[in-house]
Amino acid sequence: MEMSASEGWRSEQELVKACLAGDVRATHRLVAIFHREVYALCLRLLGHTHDAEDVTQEVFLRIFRSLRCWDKKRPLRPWILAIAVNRCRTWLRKRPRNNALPDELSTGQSGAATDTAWELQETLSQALASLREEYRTVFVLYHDRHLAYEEIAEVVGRPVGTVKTWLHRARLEILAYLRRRGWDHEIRAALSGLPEMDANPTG
Amino acid sequence: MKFAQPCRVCLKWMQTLLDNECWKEPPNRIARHLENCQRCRNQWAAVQALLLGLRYWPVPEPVTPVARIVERVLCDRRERQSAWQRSILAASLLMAASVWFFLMTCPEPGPISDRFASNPAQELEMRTDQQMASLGPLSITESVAQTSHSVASANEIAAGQYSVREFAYWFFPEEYRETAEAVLGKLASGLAMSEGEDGENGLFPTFPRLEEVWEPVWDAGVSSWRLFRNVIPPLLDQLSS
Repeated sequence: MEMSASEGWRSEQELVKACLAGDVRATHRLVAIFHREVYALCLRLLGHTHDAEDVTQEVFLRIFRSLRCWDKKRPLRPWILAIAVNRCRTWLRKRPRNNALPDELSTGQSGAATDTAWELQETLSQALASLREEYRTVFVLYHDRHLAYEEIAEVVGRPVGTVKTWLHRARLEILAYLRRRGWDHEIRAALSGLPEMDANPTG
Repeated sequence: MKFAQPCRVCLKWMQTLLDNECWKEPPNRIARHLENCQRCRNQWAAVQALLLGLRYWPVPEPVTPVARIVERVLCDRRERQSAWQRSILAASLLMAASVWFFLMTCPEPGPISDRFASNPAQELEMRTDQQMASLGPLSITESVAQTSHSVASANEIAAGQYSVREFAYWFFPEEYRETAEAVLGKLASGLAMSEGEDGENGLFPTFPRLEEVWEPVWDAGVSSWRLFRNVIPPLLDQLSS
């Protein structure tokens, strides 16, 4: 991640250095850069908006407490996402089981094009919630946060081969979930009600 | 409910599509296979649904503003700094209290080191020093009264009836008599010799009266043993010079 010169910090190292020196502007900048990303990851992994808000704040507290431990030779983003993943994992272990139903789409209909798309999002969220924790993590990091295999391996602390295997299994389980919910039959009809899909979506 | 897995060729193609999140019409070879294979057709439909779902998978904006998170971070930093300062202060106070307690309870003098313990003469001197030091800075009367081997009465000492030599005999226990003699021998050098009954050739050292050399240094709080060993000889030197 490169900072623009107008912001005063040319690189992540300089930004972190300024944060460690107690620069409030730099602290504000660092939070602003990663706020949405950390929140999105927490929301996908936890499935609850309120939980995601709380954990996002905790993640930033952790980040600034352990900023001195960050290896300057490595990129900042995977390190921050690794902290977020760990906090979500801890949160999920503490959270009571009866509170595990996802609610993320209850407020997220604004981006949906149609009711069909919204139903598909809901099904996808439920499928995600049904996955094992590791599968869910790599699926979200790859398809939602668009991290490369190597970066995901760094975040979850596992070899690239393991990450690929987990991602493959996660996809198969989600596809099986979609088929159980009848999307393999409905998709043709659904496609007709949705905007045209590009051959190369931006993702 | 288990679903049959698609054929190998289709599976690989679909995984490649998902890897790139790229929507493509199946190539001819795959399309022909899909026409004839129900399992792969179902899987292809599910893959299409997944690709579609990933495309329209919005993330709501976080409600908490950045400023609030920054404020919490700064507040946490301040709390941690003050907690750290409190810890440092508490540790310093504890350390100071420990040093003070140690100094207040430390015995004087300290333990005899091995270097001195190997020398019998030094060891004897150290032990005597330790024993005598335990008496503390006492007056003549108190010092004599506290030595169990004393033969002089407090009244006699107080009356100043005895010489340094006599006091030395009272002061030292029987087994340290040689030490007392050695000290007196050192005291005797440089003193005027006078005629008397006990000395060899009718001469013996004229030691000053005890109270004459004791009283001037008593106020300094020197222990009786240290007074005898370290203070009296220089005073006698002064008297003799």
